[in-house]
Parts: sequence; C-alpha cells; structure tokens
Amino acid sequence: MILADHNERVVRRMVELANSLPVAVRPAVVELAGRPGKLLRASLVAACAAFGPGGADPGRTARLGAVVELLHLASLLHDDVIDRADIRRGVPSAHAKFGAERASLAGLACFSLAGMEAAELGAGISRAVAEAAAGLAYGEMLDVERAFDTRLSLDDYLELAQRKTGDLFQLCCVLGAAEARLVPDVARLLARFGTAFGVAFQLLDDCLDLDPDARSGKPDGNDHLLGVFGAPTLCALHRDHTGELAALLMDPALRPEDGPKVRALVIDLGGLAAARSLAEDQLATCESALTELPPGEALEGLAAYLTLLRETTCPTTSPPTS
Amino acid sequence: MPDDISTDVLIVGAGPAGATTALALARRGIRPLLVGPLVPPGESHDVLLSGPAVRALTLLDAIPRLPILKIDSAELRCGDGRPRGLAVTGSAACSDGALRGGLIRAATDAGATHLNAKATEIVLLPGGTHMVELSSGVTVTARHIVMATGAPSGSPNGTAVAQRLTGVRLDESIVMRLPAPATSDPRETPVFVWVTPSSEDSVVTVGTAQLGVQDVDLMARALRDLAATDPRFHDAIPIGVPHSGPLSSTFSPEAAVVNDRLHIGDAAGLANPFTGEGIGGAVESGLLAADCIADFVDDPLSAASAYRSRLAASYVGYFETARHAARRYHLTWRVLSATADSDRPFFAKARRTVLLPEGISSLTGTERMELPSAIGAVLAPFLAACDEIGVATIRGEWPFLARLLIAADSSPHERLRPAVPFYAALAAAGRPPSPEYAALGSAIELATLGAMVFLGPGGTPTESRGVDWSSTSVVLAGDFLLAQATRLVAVHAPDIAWSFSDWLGELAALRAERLDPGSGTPAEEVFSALLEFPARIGAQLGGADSDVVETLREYGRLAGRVFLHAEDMLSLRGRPTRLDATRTALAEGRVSDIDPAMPVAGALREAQASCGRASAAALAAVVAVPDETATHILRAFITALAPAPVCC
Ligand SMILES: Cc1cc2nc3c(=O)[nH]c(=O)nc-3n(C[C@H](O)[C@H](O)[C@H](O)COP(=O)(O)OP(=O)(O)OC[C@H]3O[C@@H](n4cnc5c(N)ncnc54)[C@H](O)[C@@H]3O)c2cc1C
Repeated sequence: MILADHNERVVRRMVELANSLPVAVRPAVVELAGRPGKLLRASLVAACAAFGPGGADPGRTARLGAVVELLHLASLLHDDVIDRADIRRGVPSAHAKFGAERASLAGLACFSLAGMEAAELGAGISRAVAEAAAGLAYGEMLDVERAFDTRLSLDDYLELAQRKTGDLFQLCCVLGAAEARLVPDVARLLARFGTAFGVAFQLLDDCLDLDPDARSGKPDGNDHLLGVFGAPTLCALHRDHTGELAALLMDPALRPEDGPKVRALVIDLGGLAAARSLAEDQLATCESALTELPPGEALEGLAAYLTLLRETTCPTTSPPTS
Repeated sequence: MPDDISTDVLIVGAGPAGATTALALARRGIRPLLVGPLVPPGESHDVLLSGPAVRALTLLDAIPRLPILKIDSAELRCGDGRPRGLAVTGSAACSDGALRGGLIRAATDAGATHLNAKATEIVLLPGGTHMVELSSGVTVTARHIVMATGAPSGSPNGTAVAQRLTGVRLDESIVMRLPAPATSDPRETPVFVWVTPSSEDSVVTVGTAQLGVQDVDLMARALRDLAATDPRFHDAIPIGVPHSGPLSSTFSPEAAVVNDRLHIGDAAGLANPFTGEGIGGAVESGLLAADCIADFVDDPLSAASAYRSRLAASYVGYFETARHAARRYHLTWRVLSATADSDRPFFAKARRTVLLPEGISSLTGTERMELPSAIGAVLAPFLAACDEIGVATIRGEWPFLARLLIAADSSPHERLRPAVPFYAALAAAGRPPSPEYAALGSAIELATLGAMVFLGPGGTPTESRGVDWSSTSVVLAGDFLLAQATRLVAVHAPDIAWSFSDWLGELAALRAERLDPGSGTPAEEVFSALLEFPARIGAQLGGADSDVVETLREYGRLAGRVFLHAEDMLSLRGRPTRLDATRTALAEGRVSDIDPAMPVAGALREAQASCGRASAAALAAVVAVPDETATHILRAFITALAPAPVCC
C-alpha cells in the first residue's frame, strides 16, 4: 500500500535527521523517532497531497511528513516534562530517563530539526510550520493554566483543543495541499477538515482516557491528579448540580486509586456521552468538507482516514485494540 | 471670583495623578486649573513610592516638599520560599495625606490654580471645547480635560487596605509578601502584602491588596500571615482603624481617552494587578499627559492620541489579556510562588519585573554605550523598533513575558541586547541597515530570551499532586518565545530560516553538553554561540566580505565570553548581575566556568583576567571591520558589557 511506503519513508527520514543531531541531545530523539506510533499526522500530509492532479513527489511528501512528526515529537517531549509522565509509547519517557532539563533540550533540538527541514523545503513551508508551532506553544499554555479549573467553559476548552491539537493537523493538510499545488478552494476545504479532525481527535482521545482498557502504557487517571480535566470530565462538571464531582476532583487527597470512582461519576453525569457528541459535531464538519472535495481516489483515501479515527477511538463501534 | 472660568487645561481630581499633572504643566509654563477636594487633615497611613515614582517627582522638584523616608532595600517572600533581599534603590515611604497635600501645594506654588470642589457634570461642546460644572456653582470651559478621579467606586476590580501598627522595627527596609495560592482554583487572584516603615519609631504601615470580589477580611488575613511567619510582628499593635479603598487595574489603551478626555492614574486603571501599587502609575501617566498636552496645547485631539499611544507603549505586560486575564495572573502567581527559592535567571527576572516594575522608561540600551550622538541617533530608533515588534508579537498572548523583554534587567541600559551587534554587523559593509531588519533583530532577541529560559538549574520537582510549576513554566515560556521568534523569521526573513533553526539546535546541544560533567564543554561555548549568530547573520545580510563575516563571527563569540565573565565578576563581587544571578546560582546551574570551591579573591582575579582577555581580543578584531559606524558600535558594546575591573 502506498501509505505504508510513505510512512516508511517518513520514519527513515526522521531517524536520519535524528541521527544528525549532536550526541548530547541525540538519544532521546532517536529513540522516539524510531518508535513512531501511528504516524497519523504524516499520513494526513500524504492523504492531502494525493489530491494533486499528477500526484505529489513522494520524497518531498515524506520530508513534509517528517516535519510534522518532528514537531509532534518536540511537543511530546515537552508535554512529558509538564505532566511528569514516566511512560511514553510504552517505554520510559525521556523525562524519566534523562531528567526534565535534558528532555526539554531534546524537545528544543527536535523543534530546530523540524525548522531546518521545513526551511529546506521552501519559504512558504517554513512559515506555515512556524505558525502552527506558535499555535501549539500557546495551546500548551492554555492547557496548563486551566489546571484545576472545574468551571472551564466549553468555548475555552475548544480554543485550547484547536491550538494544542487542531493547528498541527491543519498544518498537515496545508502542507499536503501546498505540495500538490491545489487550488485555494480545495486547500481551504482540506484545512477546515484538518482543524476539525484535530479537535475531534483531542475530544475522542479525552474520551479514551476514561476507558482504562483502551489505554495501554498510560498511567490511569494521571490527568485528573494533575487537575487537567478532559472533555468528558468538563461536560460532567457542567451537569454536576450537587457539586459532588467538583469536590472529589479538588480534594487534595485524591489518589490514583480513586480513578474508577471519578470515572463512574463522570459517566453517570453523562459527561462521556456529551463529549462524544461534541466530537460528532467536529466529525460532521469533516464529513461536510468531504462532500465538497473533488471525488476520486484521493477522496476515498481521506474518507478512510476519517474512518480510522472512528475505529481507533470509539470503543462502542469496534473493540479496543490493546 | 467670577462665575465663569476659561482655561487651557482642567484637571479633575487632585490625588497624586492630578496634582502631578498640574505641577508638570506648570513647570512647562502652562497654568492649569486643578479641581478636587482636599484630604481632611488627620491620621493617615504611609504609602510606598517606587523608585520610578520618586525619580519622576524628583525631576519635578517636588521631593523636597514631601516628608519622605528613603528606602533602599526590600525583603521579598514569595509563597513558602525563603525571604530574599532585593535592592529597591530610590524608593521612599511617605504619609498618604502629606503626599497629597504636598503635591497640591507644589503645583499651586508653581503656578497652577487649585479649587476645593468637585466636578458635577462635564459636557463636550461642538467644536471640541469642554464645559464643566463644579459643585461650587462655577462653570469652567477648557480645551483639554484630564480625568484623575481615581478608581471608579462603583466598579472597581480590586481592593486595598492599609493599617498602621506600632511595635514593629523594620530599619528602613520594606517587607513584601506574595502568599502562596490558598487553593488550586485557577480563578483565585493574587494577594499581596507589604509593610512600609515610617519616620516614627517602631511604627509601620501594613498594606494588602487583591483583585476580584473580596469575601474575606484582607487585613486580618495579612496580619495573621505576618504574625505566623515573621517574629518581628509578634508584638504588633494596630493604631487607629484600617483605611480601605478601591483599586482599578482595568487599563486598556482604548479607555485611556474617552470623549476626548485624558484618563490618568487609577481613573485609567493603572494599578499593578499583582501588588496594588498605583502611585507609580499615577505619577507617570500624569507626566505623560502633561507632556502630550504641552506638546500640543493648540491641538487637543493630537494631544489625546499622542497620550493614548505613548501610554499603551509604556504599560506593556499587565493589562492585555482580557479573556484569559484571571487565569494568566494565576499562572504567573503560581510560577512566582513555586519558584520562590529558585535562582534560575528566568525566575529571578520574572520576580523582579512582575512585582517591582522598573517604570515606564523603556530605555533602548544605547544609554550606557559611549557613542557619538550621530550614531546613537541611528541606532536608537532601530532598537526601539526591535522592542516594538517584539512586544507586539507576544503581548497579546503572554503579556508578562513582554514585560520581561523590555524590562529585562535591573538597569535597563545594561541589557544584553543582541540587536546591538546585529545592527553593527549589518552596517559593517558600509551600507546603512534597512529598518526592515528590525523584525529579525527582534526575533533574535526573543530567541535569546527563550534560550535564557532554558539556562540554569532545573527546579526540584514537588512531590504533591498537581503541576511542577518550575519545569512547566520553563517549557511553556521557552517554547512560546522560540516559536514566536521562528515565526517572525519565517515571515520577515525567510532566507535565513534554516540558519535560525540551526542556531536554536546548536544552543540546545551546547547546553545539553554542558550539563554533562564529563563532556568538557565550557559554559563559554553557550554564550559564544548566543552572540555569534547575530554578528554573523548581520554581516552576511549587510553584504560584508567573507573575511569580514569571519571577523564578526569571532567578535560575536568573544562578546559572548565577555558577557559570561562579566556575570562571574559581578556575582563574585556580590553585585546584581544582568541575569539577576548569584555565584551559587551560576555554579549550580552550570552556567559559569568558575570552580565554586575557589576562594573569592582568586576567582575574581581569574574572571577579570578572562574578561580582560576576551574584551581585548574583541576590540582588536573590530579593527578589521571597514565601516566606521559599525566599529564604533562594536567597541562601545564590548566596553559597556565588560565591568570595570576592581583593584586587588
Ligand atoms: C489603603 C490603600 C493603600 C495604598 N497603598 C499604596 C502604596 O503604598 N503604594 C502605592 O503605590 N499605591 C498604594 N495604593 C494605591 C494608590 O493609593 C492609588 O493608586 C493612587 O492614589 C492613585 O492616584 P490617583 O490620583 O489616580 O487617584 P486617587 O488617589 O484615588 O485620587 C482621585 C482624587 O480625585 C477626586 N475626585 C473623584 N471624583 C472627583 C470629581 N468628580 N471632581 C473632583 N475630584 C474628584 C477624589 O476625591 C480623589 O482625591 C493604596 C491604595 C489604598 C486604597
């Protein structure tokens, strides 16, 4: 399958770039680059580039894929410092292995790699990448500063999801469209698809956090302890007229063992269902973009990509993969 | 007195802001009418005047009329951290009543007229004249109106309370406390407590301020907190009743001028949202308003628009976050509390710039350098443009960092400004640099600030649940600044986007190497790389020959060394450093190359020698640069960077 080829090229390029780093920051980056996860972002670049009439240059498309994945790696390295996460992609995180400071510097090194690779691919690319990175950094801040806010409005939550996750997915579409030299209308539709996809992804990812079976390699309930309340929890808090959930979440003595209790309460209050329906709204935006895009193989590819998100994140429609 | 008065300038409100404006106008030969009730004589709390406020009042020659007590040191305690001594050179304490009365007298002696009345109605007549009814029945028409009426009592957004105490000895030093947040609720707003000495023996004033709706007795809480944490307050006895009043920190440039009236001081919402300090803002905005009016006496609209834009430029950092304001204050408060014991340069600076604003003179950094005035005249606007772009880039999303950018040092003129060598390098080939490069200069400065964020010892992670604010804020601020810098480059100088990213990678790698005790990478390398880039890129963009580019690279590297050795020298002498660091902090952060075990005298000798060598080499390298303006600036930069050696 062509996507598999693309992803393989992306990983090869990422590893190559990571290996070019000075040794002081290399190990943390090489390790993550070599365990690439699902490459959702790089795949999206290829899926959008496929809309071009003559197809896109596979080498350049792979390099663009490497750019977005490197940017993503940089944010993972830094998120782990912020969350004090011990595990990433099933193995000890860079933060756990090398300490906060070295992990931060490795993240910076990744960011710089993404910047150099983008610059080699063209000025327009640099600009789009830098703009997304700025959005990401701002999203990171919005995410931290709302910690322990049991009254965070859904608007504020959506702004945060858009910056923290949507901007990067949007970048994938913008880069793919630019590579395939698509007309502005199609590029705009793809960008709209990307943002909504990213926000949906974040919402559904938050939903998965409430499902302990669906999550491997991520410590249970950590976000609740950190005061970082995902969409289901926030939705539940908005319906929590007795204040029971808020009191539980704000209890300084909350422990990891309280996870199941928090979960049960969130689900009881209808938080999970509400968050899923918010995600559905975003997915509907994606669907509507699909109906306006030119038909063909590329469209089928993008539709399949959307289906993939539903399958991997909605345990009700398919059994969780562990 | 006739029933109707006509005047150029009417100032409504005779508090510190209004009286300062009246005095400043009178000093410039304009005789304004100042209208406002006098404070009834009687017992009054003492207020603290910040260094910038005292400096401004000194320029107006008002200080000799005020019974002030000079204060040079402060003790600041954030959260549960240890108390820290801070220099607050030039501050003063004064009785609130004496300050108000003294300023009004100074204004009338200088030629202003004061009426003990209130304005009851103000109407803007067609044609731009204002008509004002006074409570005394007099009608005034005026061309300019300055509103200095204080915080609106109907809709203040905070409260300050002051209480005098006896039985406390402070020895001409102030005490400041920023207690840790009491809950994890990100909507909780910061509380600040300060204690001011007075000229009366053992008498002090405790002040406390908080934004938001008050649901607790602020003063009771402050006194409890002081008594619990500081033995000097064990035997404190309150004198008289507490004074309390509204605070307003709602400044926005749009609200600075309403119906063609200039709003100043608390009426413009200029109190510091963290500390409640408002006299500085009152005095400074009063001066600005007076200057703008005097510059445009015959053109009130221009005076108003000049005032609006100058005020906006001055009050960077506190007021811009409308939607997220409360949470962003809270974030900053968390960081300040959690990093109270950290000497990491970034946190030291944040403490200073947020809590002890340096005033509104955003000096561009040319002041300290000895430059012929013709050169200063071309460099200063470039640096000002860098500031403006940098501030505009980040103020909307992270205003406190914008403050850090323009008030980055305890003495702004000693700022490490990479834009200076960048400018000189641009000029090296003999062509005057295009103002368009200011965006790149600003990107370089944002990135330098971002790189500095990543310098220094990591925080000790807290064990409790919740966020590790120290590491978190490093990552957040660093990422934010570097992303914004990269964006500026991608937009304004795409040709060097690659080199810029490469530079960031180099800094990350050098710093990481430096963390490894076995690597042998000297700390100098990090600083060399920091200044090598602006010099190299400037030379390339300015079209310099390759050997001149090489010379400037070497110059940049040497300048970085001079900077680091200067840090060593200043910290060894116990002087404030540009990074606000101590010798221990520099050593623990592996920022310095000096062996922490070495006795001070020897270490100082070594640092001075290294500094001397690096600056001599840098000055020698400059000889190969053809352009005279460039060489002047490059020399002056090194000379300003290197502290004068002390004799041993
Ligand atoms: C208890 C307390 C302690 C404080 N301690 C400090 C401190 O230590 N350091 C510090 O820097 N700041 C301190 N502040 C804040 C500081 O007092 C204010 O920021 C400062 O006074 C603002 O000056 P201003 O001239 O803008 O307003 P104000 O001082 O409020 O003066 C406004 C004046 O306008 C008059 N006025 C109002 N309406 C009219 C009208 N219609 N016509 C005519 N006159 C009118 C009022 O009577 C008043 O005299 C403190 C505040 C309080 C409440």
